[in-house]
Amino acid sequence: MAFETPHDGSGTVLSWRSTNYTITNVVVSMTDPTATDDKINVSHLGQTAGETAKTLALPLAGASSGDTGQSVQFDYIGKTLIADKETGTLSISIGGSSLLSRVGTVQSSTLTLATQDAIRGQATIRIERS
Amino acid sequence: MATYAAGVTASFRGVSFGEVQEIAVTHGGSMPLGRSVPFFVDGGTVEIKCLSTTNISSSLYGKRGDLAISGGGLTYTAKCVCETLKINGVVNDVAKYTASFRVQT
Repeated sequence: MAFETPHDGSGTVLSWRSTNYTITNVVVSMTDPTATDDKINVSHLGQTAGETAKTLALPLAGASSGDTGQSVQFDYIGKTLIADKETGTLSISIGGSSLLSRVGTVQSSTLTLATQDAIRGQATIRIERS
Repeated sequence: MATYAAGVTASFRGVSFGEVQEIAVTHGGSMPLGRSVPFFVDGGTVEIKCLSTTNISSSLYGKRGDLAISGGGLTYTAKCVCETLKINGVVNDVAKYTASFRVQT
């Protein structure tokens, strides 16, 4: 999708469980959990120097409830405490264009109350793969 | 100059092991005995770890023959007796086999 310049993230709206948050920072992470180096090393002494190391994929697949490899971390201002394990829909749009809208589960959440500062929170939502 | 442990072959009684991952040779295990003719109670051990079942069989147990290792700076030949065979299975991994030999000098 294309966004109008400047790509400074202004006009970004983040909604979690139908509530819009006053966000100050958003990090969207997309990692293929199967692209990791979790392979079985089956290289052997019979191979010659310079040959490619032999590997095999793990025989068992990762649990479906495990890491999807995709998450959104955002910082917000406000006194709403986001509870862990909450599940709902996370939507992000930039300048009216939807970036993503997925079901996710809260992986971690913090709310910081400090002197001479606004109440700030941070949450990491693990989103389901589409 | 270091030697790559690569291009190594290992065989027992003329049959090669497949996908050998590790070879450990300990030559000599006890002091020589005897006066007129030295002999050894323990000549040492050879351990071969591999991923293939080729040449891995319980029928090898107790068999005596030539064990030959060559290549990759690991050249070694000795008369050996197959002492133990180990089959190792770990979840989410491949099966691994270990054959251990007692060296007879």
